[in-house]
Amino acid sequence: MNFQLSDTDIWARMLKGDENALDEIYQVYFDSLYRYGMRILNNEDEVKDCLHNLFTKIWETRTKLGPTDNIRYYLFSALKNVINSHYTKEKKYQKVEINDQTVFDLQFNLESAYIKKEELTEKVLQLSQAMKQLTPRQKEIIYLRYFEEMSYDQISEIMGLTTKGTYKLSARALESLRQIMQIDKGLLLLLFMELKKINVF
Amino acid sequence: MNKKDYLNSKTIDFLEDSNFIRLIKYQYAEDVAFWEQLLDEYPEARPFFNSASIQLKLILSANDIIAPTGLKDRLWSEIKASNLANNNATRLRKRIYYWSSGIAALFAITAYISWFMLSSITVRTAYGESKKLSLPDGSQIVLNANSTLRYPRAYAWKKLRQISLEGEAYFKVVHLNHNHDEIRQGELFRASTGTAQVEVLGTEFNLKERRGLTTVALVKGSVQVRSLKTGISYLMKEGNVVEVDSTKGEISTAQISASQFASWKEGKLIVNHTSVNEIIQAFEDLYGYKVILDNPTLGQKKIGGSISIKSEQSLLFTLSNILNVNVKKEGKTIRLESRR
Repeated sequence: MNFQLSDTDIWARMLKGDENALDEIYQVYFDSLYRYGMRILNNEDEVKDCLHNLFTKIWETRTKLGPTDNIRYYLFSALKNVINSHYTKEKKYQKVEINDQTVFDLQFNLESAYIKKEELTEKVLQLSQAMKQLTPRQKEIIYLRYFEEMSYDQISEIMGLTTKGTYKLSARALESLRQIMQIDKGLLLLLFMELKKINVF
Repeated sequence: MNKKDYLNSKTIDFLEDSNFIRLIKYQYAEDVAFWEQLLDEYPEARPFFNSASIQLKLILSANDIIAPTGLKDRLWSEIKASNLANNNATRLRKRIYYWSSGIAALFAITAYISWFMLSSITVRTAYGESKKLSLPDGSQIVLNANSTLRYPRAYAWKKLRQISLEGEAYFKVVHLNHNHDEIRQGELFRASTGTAQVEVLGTEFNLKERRGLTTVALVKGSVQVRSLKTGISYLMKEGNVVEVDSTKGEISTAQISASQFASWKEGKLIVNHTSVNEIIQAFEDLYGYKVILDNPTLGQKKIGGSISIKSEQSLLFTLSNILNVNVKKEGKTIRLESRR
């Protein structure tokens, strides 16, 4: 609760033109934002440009911005917008859909998962294979949910989806994994096809 | 946290639970103790717990991404520099905005003043209509029918009180001058027609300009009449009537009394040894008709007396009786036919 209060407070100070407040915000959130940007863009220079745009734009338009009690969420949303418009600019001359995000750099690694040897069953290996089949958007949802611990509401806002859609999507992704854990090899192929269908949204 | 909440938890429920996520992610000692106890009490939840735990561990096994050292600070100084430049640009923009709006306002004011100083007010009367008006200095003017009066919008701000007239008007000019030897700015009043200029300090006079002939009838005070063609001036005395013709610009005195000349204001025409043609001309000027006499010799007839000009009907009625003619109106033409 204290944390949220200080979020509102530091943001308000920044809106009033306090450069130190902007500095504090930058210092706290740089790493998270950089990671998120890199997972989408996979290019250090582009991420740098986007973060530069993000923080200069916030400063430039501060008199028009509203208050927030969740700076992390605010910055993630804003960064996603900057990245989207960056995409539009970059891909202007190529025939690529803006929302057709091709990458979300989230590579699961069985070796570094700290799973005890006796737990490494056939099912776990299958699961690990299945997770590699997740689409970039599914990976992004899982990332925002488990790494950034955002709510489904926030995730859907950031990704431009309806809340229901996100929840359904995430639940289905997890459900798929759960089922993979308990079913036999024969049905696995069918499930992969199912996962690919989810990518339609 | 209530242990009973997890009694029926399946894998997916654990994965959606923030307490469970915290346990796997951070392994805080008090969390570990809580969950060990819970699983001892509810061994049936263990398989689901284990499954969820493995799934989450797999998720959390994802590659980390770390920014190159120094990037954070480097980027921050770049952002700070941009913001500083932006602050200055904003300040400059504001300054430019203030200056340009100031200049724009100045232009607007200048445009307004020039419009105010250079434009004029025009008052027109239609046929058969007369208007009374007063100028900003209090001078009174009665404008006769079919006449146009023009004066500067900035009348009160000008050195010279100046008006121009087409048609006929009666002037009662306010006397502003107090010292006769020293005539100051704004004290002189000038009325001009196409052929003559009348300069006064303060008087009452009738000015008429019809068919190229300007007639000035001085009722009170003194005025100076100047022929625009010859530049010759004539100083009029009270009661004088002066004519200036447009072709030669000659000034001549007329044998009528000034008060008689200004009688139109009261809605009558006082005539004294005046030809019917002159009366008909006056009628044409005031009411906009073309009058045709079927017997032209009638036009030479001189009459005297007072004729009402308040309405065209009364004037025509008088004429028809004096001349013993029938009046025939055809549109804008009036025919006066001798009675047989």
